[in-house]
Amino acid sequence: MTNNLIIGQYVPGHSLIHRLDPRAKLLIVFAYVLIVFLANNVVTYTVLSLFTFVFAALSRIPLSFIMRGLKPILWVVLFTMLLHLFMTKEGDVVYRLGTFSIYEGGIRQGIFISLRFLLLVLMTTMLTLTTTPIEVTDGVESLLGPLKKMRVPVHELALMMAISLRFIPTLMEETEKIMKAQAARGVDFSGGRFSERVKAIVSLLVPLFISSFKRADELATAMEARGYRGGEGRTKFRQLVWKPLDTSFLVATALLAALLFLLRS
Amino acid sequence: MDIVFEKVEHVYNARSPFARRALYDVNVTIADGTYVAIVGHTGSGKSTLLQHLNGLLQPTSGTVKIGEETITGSKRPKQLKPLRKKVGIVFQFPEHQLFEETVEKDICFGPLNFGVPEEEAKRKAKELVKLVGLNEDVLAKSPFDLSGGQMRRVAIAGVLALEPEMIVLDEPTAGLDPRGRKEIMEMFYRLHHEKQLTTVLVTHSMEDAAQYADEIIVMHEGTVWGQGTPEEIFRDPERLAAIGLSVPETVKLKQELERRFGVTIPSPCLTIEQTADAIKQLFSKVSVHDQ
Repeated sequence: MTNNLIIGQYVPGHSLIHRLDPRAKLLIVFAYVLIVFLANNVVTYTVLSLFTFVFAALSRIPLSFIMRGLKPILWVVLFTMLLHLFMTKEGDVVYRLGTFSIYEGGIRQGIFISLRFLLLVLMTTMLTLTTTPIEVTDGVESLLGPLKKMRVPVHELALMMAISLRFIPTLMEETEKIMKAQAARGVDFSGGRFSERVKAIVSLLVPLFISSFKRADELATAMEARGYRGGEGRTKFRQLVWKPLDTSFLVATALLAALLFLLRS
Repeated sequence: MDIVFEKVEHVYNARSPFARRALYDVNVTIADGTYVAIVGHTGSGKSTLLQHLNGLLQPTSGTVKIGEETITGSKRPKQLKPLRKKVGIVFQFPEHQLFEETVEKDICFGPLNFGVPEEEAKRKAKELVKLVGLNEDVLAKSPFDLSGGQMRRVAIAGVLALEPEMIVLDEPTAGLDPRGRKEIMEMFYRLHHEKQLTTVLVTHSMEDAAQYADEIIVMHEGTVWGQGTPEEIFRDPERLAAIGLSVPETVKLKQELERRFGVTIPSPCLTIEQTADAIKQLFSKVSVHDQ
């Protein structure tokens, strides 16, 4: 289970992308999510894909590893593709089977939309693969900083995010441990009748909930014991430093947006 | 039911940047009916090794033979359930696996999964709470209303309820008070003899290993460093110290006595009783000298 899911997992490294300021990466990814929708023909999709693949290549994370992580979402992509293939009725009919006909526009849309989806996931995965959760939260807190003046509890939100990200691996580990313990007591997590499956899930969820609550309690106590009292006047151990490299990546993203805007039909 | 490991290797997250080899070249045999202790540093591969004992993990390469069944990297029996019934594992902090509304239901959970009729499972639960040293009236309570030590006992009863031929204990006394520790260790030792179980104990306590085990397997950095009787393993404290392990306190005492009195003590001094005997002999010798 932990072997396949890489969304939200950090791969240590020293590549260009790893060294980018988390704020820059957040801004790039956020902009990218909007930019993706500018692409609407073969040229723009090619440019977009190129940008994305260069970005991914710069991270020096093995492609095979990224691909394996994308596997779980492949069926969603496939489903989108099929949906468009059958539902879009534009252009010439390419193939006819009984009441179903596949149009040229359907094929085009199918490929474009699933490509868009893949690129989106790839890019957002790049963010988490190359940025530690702590960096992400620091970045978010810093970017949302101005909202503090409007009394938005930015620090608390960032802390909540940091804690939930921090505990994903812990929960995964815990899940695996409890699954093993219950499997040793004869629970079959991979098959069985519906009622058996429900029971299996209950035997996993109850211990998981209990340990999470306990952990939350302990964490709160530990934080108070170390004098935590919110964001007021708190200084940072890791200061974020904006470098020329960050600016150049932002400019590259802006150029991409401009290029797509010019080339789109 | 013998268990035989042949050239077992296990790599976590194989073929990913997180690949980590936890075990390699492990060749051990756990003979039917023996009490085996596995000792070693944190991260030496003890826990990984024990998860191979009932097919929770598959070796990356090599073979594990569990009785009649053979598990290799590419092949494992279609049905692991019969295997899991034969090998009961008490994980570290087993109280974390409790989830039912009542203690009785939780103890019956395992047997019911293996198709034991409800009446029989309940009867067994009643026996088992007494066996693990609890009062019968806890059966109707919620396991979450019990103390940590009591929860541990209930969880252990839940594994014993499977009536396994082999029981694997992963630091069963971690976090318990000294009295609870002794009671639980004594209980497992009694069960080992009464039910002719094969027992595998993973422990950090050299004293427990020395006192209860017929045989000790020493793990070091993912492979078997040595296997032998407690006497053989604890004969050479310096070699053990080199891999960061120590010998039981009684063996240390024996060494110190030998140094101070300039004698050799023939007894291995693995338990308090043996050591007391050895000291008694030493005294009688010394007093003979004095006269």
